[in-house]
Amino acid sequence: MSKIENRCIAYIYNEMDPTERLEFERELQSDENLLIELESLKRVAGCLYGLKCMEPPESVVNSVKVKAETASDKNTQSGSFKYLFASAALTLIAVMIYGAATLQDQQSAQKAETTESGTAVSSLSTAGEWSGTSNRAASDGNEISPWVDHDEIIHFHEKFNRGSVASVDSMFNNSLNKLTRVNEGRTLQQVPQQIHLTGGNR
Amino acid sequence: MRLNKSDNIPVNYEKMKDRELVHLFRKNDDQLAFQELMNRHQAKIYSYIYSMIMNRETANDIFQETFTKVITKMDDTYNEQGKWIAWVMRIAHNATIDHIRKQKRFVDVKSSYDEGSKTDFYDRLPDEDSPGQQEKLELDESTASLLKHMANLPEEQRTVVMLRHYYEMPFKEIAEITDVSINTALGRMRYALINLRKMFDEEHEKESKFL
Repeated sequence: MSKIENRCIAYIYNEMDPTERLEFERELQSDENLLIELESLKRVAGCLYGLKCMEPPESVVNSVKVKAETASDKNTQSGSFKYLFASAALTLIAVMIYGAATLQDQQSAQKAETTESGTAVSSLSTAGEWSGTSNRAASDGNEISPWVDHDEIIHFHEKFNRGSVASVDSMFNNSLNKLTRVNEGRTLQQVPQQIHLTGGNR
Repeated sequence: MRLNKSDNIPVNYEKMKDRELVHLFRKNDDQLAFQELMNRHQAKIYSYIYSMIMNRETANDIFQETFTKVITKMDDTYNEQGKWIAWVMRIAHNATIDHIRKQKRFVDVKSSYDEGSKTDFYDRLPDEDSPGQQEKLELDESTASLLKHMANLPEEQRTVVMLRHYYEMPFKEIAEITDVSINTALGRMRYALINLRKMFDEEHEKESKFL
């Protein structure tokens, strides 16, 4: 199939850019056969304009419109269901997140409480041992491993027995005779604090 | 808001572009927008289908099938970047071609050949590719005559002629819809015109013989 012959069609149906069109018209002037062919095809193409549009039957059009309405209703229903499911899912997720967060808070609070009280008691009980008092806090047999940091502060980490608050209190008081308290502790009745004791006079 | 008396479609809808109407229908389920789209294009789509099939009943079925697909697939497969009508025409074209191919597939010509009358299945069937008597009466004479000639064109040539005639579709778009190169689409149009010229000439010859 020749591209040159197809150009007749592009020319007849006005699908050439202006430059192409000009060039083709020059070609037509010099090629009589091409001009005859073009005119002949143009005449046939002109006959096609006699082809009129046909309207579809009204019943067919109406049935299509009904289908469109039905589809629209279905979309609306499925859309509302979608919103319902989406909101239910969001609520569920929110509840789960809230629950998980609450549980985590409780767990961390318990953990912190245990650690803090353990540290405080062990510190104090060790201090008490140093001051010649009996170490009740260490009565469960766990060994205490104190360590001293570069500021000469002794650190203890041990579990604390909540029942021995009174003895801890006395140990704390005795310890004050030899050791200088570095940080402000909370009241012993509350117990959960960590107390740093040092042998230096700072 | 003024309404179009025939369909109760607001007048401002008539001024809207296809894209805007499609958007209204998709986003707001605006039935009036869809009706306006149909009013604009139904005749051309129907004419295209009919000119390819040449049978009212089948054309009605394919027309409905086309719009059912348009309604159900609009959300999934139509992106608002392209021309809506080109998308619809592709659906109409595919449905029409599917029908034509099915018709061809289901006819076993050899087994239905009758030695006595020397006719096959095609000969005994009413000719689907030309308008029936009743349908001829409904169409104006020139259209009926032209359609009769069109029916004799090969399917691919007829497709190009009809897409160009009813939609003034650029050959580039015709090439896209029919999955061929633009040069092939132009070539098909050219051969269609050459074939039609031949048919017109033969018709004139017959008429001049009678005179």
